[in-house]
Amino acid sequence: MSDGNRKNAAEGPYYLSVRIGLITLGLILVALAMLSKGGVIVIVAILAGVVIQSAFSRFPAVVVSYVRSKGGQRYETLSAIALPLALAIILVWMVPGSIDTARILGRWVDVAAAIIFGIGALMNLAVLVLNLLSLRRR
Amino acid sequence: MVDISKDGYRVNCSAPRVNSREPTMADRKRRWRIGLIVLVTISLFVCPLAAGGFGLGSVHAQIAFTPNVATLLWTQTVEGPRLELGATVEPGVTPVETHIPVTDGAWIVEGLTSAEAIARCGGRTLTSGDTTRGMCLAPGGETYYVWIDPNEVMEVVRDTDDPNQGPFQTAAAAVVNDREAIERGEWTRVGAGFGTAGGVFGFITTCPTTIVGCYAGMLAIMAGVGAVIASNDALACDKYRLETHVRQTQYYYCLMQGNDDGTCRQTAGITETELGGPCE
Repeated sequence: MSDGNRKNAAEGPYYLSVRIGLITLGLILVALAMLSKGGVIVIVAILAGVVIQSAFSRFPAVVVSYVRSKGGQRYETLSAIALPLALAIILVWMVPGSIDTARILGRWVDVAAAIIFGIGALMNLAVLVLNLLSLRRR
Repeated sequence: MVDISKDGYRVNCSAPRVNSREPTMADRKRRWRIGLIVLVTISLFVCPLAAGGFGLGSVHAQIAFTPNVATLLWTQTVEGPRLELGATVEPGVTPVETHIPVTDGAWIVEGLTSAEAIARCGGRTLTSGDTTRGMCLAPGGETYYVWIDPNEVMEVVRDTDDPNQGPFQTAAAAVVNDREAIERGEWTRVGAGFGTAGGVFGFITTCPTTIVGCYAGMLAIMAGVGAVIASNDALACDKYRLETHVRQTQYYYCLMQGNDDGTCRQTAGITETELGGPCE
């Protein structure tokens, strides 16, 4: 892959979706690490760090350029909408359960997990709106 | 195919196109995959709704709450060893604190916390419940320490015929188990949420490149959504059980304080009608 192609892949709505998608996965792992016990905490926390770090590496650009070469423009447009939408739905779905558990057990980690899911959902909704506006302008 | 142009011969190795508007196999595959992605995205809306809302449907669907409390024959006084009642009573082998009498065989131990009571009894191993609500055999073996508030411990004379002491002990132990079950369930639920999100990410990013990735992602999403729904249901059950056992401890503690059945049902928030919960 040439540098020009890679540079081109590191921009646009789909690139933003993939990047925020990876951060979202990392955030869910952070919540999972907080709810874990013993040695599992370390494993999940390391995994969360790796996933979040990958969002700021060249990995999203590689994914985008590979998908672009195989899938085409129409597929890229659809993915730029479908990915943040689906992730936002999942995170919104997770929030009430965490709030309910926090109410019953009175643990701060459940409150923190609910906040993390809320932040993740808002991030993905913001990306969805940005992508819709960006695609509409084209 | 050979094209003849003004410049001469130009060789074109591509296959002749019969009709440019007719979709090729690659187009069909792409359309099929796009359709699949749309279907999965829509199903992410539909599945949670079909499973009773966003996870809380089954919990909040209940109209009233009545734990399965057996009808008990309650007596006004508990027969136990005769102890002198007075401003300061020193039952068992814990004479340090002032004992404020509640009934013939029950006293509030002034200044004693549940954590201290657990330590005196011999630690968590010999305690039913935890610091929030529990019961343990006081040193000497003649009395129990009982609490539903970490800062208020009641000492009651040990009586194997008491209809309240045994059920309280069982309910207090069950509360600890329920809390642990909820903690495990919450971990599973968030883990399943991660599985679903990972499946969505994998599905959308790998679907155009490989059909295997498409199927693997779709299976991960289906498994993840199913696991989240199952975890929500199991958690609703555990939360209902916890609420039941907490109310039972409040009810039996109230009875041990010498109150009548009606007052204790009201104190514990136990209603007359049995409507059942999400686990029945």
